[in-house]
Amino acid sequence: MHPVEEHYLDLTRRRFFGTCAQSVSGAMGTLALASLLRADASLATAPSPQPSSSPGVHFRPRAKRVIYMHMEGAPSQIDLFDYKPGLRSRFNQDLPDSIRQGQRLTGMTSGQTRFPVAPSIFRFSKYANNQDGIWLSELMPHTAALSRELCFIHSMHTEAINHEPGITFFQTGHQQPGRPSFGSWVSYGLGSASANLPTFVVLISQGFGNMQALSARFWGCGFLPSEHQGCKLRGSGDPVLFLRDPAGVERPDRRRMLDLVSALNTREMERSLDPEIRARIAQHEMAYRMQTSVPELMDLSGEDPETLAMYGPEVSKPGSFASNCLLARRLAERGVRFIQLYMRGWDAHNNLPGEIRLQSAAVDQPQAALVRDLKRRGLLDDTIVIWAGEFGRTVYSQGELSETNYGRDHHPRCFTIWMAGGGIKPGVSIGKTDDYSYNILENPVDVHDLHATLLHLLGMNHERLDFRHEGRDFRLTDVFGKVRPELLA
Amino acid sequence: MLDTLLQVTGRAHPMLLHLPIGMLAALVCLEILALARLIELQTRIRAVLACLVFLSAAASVASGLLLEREPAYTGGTGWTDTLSLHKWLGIGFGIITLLSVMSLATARTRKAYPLLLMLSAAAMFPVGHFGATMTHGEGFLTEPLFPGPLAPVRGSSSRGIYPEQIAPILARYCVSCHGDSKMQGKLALHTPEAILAGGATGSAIEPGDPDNSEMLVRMLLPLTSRDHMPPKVRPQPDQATIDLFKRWIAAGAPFEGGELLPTGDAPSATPEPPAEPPPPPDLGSSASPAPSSDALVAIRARHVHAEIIDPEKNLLWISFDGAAAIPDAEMAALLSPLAPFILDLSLAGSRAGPSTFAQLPMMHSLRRLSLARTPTTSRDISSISTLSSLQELILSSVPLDDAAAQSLATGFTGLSRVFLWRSGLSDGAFTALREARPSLMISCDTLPADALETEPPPKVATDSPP
Repeated sequence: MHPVEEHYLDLTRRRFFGTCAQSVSGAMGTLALASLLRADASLATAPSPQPSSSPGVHFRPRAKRVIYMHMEGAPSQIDLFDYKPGLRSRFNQDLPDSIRQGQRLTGMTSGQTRFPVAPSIFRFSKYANNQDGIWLSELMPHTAALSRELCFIHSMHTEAINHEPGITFFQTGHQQPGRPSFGSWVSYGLGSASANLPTFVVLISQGFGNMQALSARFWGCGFLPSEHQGCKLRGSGDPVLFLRDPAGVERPDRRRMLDLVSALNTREMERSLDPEIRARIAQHEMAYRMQTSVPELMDLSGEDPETLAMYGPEVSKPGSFASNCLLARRLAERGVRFIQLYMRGWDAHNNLPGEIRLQSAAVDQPQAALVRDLKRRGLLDDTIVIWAGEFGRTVYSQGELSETNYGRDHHPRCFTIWMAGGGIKPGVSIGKTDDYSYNILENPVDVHDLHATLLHLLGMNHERLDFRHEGRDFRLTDVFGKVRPELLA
Repeated sequence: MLDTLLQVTGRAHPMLLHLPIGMLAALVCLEILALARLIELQTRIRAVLACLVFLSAAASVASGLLLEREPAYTGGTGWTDTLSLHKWLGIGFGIITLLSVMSLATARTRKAYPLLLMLSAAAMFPVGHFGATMTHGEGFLTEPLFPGPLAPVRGSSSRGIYPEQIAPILARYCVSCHGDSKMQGKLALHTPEAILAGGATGSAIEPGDPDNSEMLVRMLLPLTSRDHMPPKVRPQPDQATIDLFKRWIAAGAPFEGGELLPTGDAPSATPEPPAEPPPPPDLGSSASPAPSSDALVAIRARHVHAEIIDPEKNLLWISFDGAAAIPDAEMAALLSPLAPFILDLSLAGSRAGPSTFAQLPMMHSLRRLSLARTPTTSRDISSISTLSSLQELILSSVPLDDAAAQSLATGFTGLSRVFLWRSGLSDGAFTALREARPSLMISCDTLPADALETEPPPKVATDSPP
């Protein structure tokens, strides 16, 4: 559509008066109107940098896209990244009250009579990075080998203590459901960079440990126009339902049908000015193009054997984390802005050692291969890779503690995430926790700060990326969030 | 009073003449349908239509004869000029339509009706053609088929002001009406002799005296004036062209030799050189120039991603990632108007070829360029090695040879990082490149020197479980 016409379509009554009031010193309504009309006239000659629905970058970005690997269930920082050798000598001792400080507990351990310290049974090794090295456990050798590329944040903390509010907080910046997902904000803020694939794609892998529910609202768009919601590609069967035309319907038939429906929808949109109708038209078109672009995306015959082998033996199994990591790279190459991978099964309340071995084995090689593959193809520089759970796990054992087995409960006060690429400082660890990996000693990073920093890398000021809904300008970071310069390269 | 009325009637000719054409076409269609037995055509209806054809033809002929009395049409020099041909063929057409009507009167003469109808239909085309030639000029219909000068006026190899500068102007704006085949106002301008001979109102030019040269005077009349030339429906010369023509007359209107007059605006048969690309955006000024919105709309229409990623300086990120099938020449055409504004360009997987590479050296703002998975050659790399603003160059999966390493070592002065995974360079080329540019970061998965990506960093210490 012509940008001027589109602008008029968006000119709702409220925004019209809002612009009038802002433009010239208040009272001069006609002057304001004149300036408004002049702005319209100049639209025809000045470039319209983005479709009017996406505000575009505020400044030159460091990164253009995000691959966000969410470890659903919350992996144990103590067994993976947060090296606490001192705990070995405190095996089965009670957690000191000076450390717990009256911290609230979940219903799962609040009934326990004592909180015995459970040191990790896994062996850690020190790997060279761009500081004085980092200690990482034997569970993820491939990932550890990339220590010069990764930025570990040991001092993440969150407000939520249960999975649903925890993931919701990480994904939407708010514990209560209903706000737009991070990916939707990015889609809204930057618009699509791919004509043939959705801006925000979600891929899910089933885990091997205790799994929690994964709601579709984690990638919902809340009050943002619905073209910004995440599009889930299924792990088995057709990645998108109804990808194939039904028997007897040829491609030109489908095209004619869509043209007619779109003409009717356009007429209704021009009458009602409802932006949701435009979203629907756009989604019909996207679905039509996805009928060819998705099979092309899923067709791995062009991948060379060396690359496939790098992602590990599971790569050819649809829905596996390895397969989804490879797809993430292919999506990034095709211009998808926000690629979210969910790996389920990290909620190890009991039998943690057994579960985390399986979980780590499933993700380690693929995630390392993804970072390495992006890097050698020149994509890592402008792609942010994030690996994070929704919170951490407790140092004390849930259930019975033995030399070889233990469980861990939810722990929001500190946990470790890692990031790479896209303007993130490589090869560093940020923040420090106490000897029990229970409280943060240095550099706490909260979820809002993380969001603000990531938006900053994508070229957006988190205080200016807003959307008016029910009379209020909403932000991903709400009224919080600071860009953390120590994370930036 | 009567004269005025007749004049108005005459001027209705261009309107009236369409009536017989339409009605004759309708009659012929009906006859064909009747012949195919698809409809039944009653004689009465046939007669009414034939009568209408005749009456409208008669009205057209009459109005045409009245129009001919106007001064603008007094140019006939014999029966072969366009006006005479149109007139006599038109009168003939009218007579044939009358005969067609009359033939319907009796059963015996009705046998001649089909022949007469065909004749009138056939006569209609030349009449219309010559009429249209007068209003629209020679070759109006076929002009788009044969682009180029409208009339052959230039001496093949002659040099000088007239053949090189003046004749093309006349050819472009005048000769279609004042030429060999059509001499309106008895004026022809296709040869020096004809120009000097002048027309019905006297001389066309007075050499050395622009103010009294009829042609120039008419060109300078307001467009609304009846005497303005070229007629306002025809293409108009711009001011520079008129100035050039004026200086030629002032110089004595030489037809041979003469120094070329200093102007670049004269139309010439040689194609104009391509417009210079706009200068690179001035990074210091507050109001930065912006890329053309038409060019952005055009490139986005081809599903190429074009986004302003530096809102301060209006610089672009352009990515062909989702539009791999665009041919090289079209890519170049899409990129050309945006070239100075491109900060970050991804041609990964595209069909970039010689035309696209020809555009790259004009991208003065280019910082990052991806040529991954393109059939880029070492020669292409050498052709863009003058890009001094480029900081990052991605050549992953590009089949290069060692000559490319040479370009990388000597060109690309601003380059800080290059991606050469699967670029086909030999180990020797890598070594030479590292030696030539020690500060250049070379990213290549298979290189043993790039320890980070090829082997796990050494384990500094190991801690055992209790």
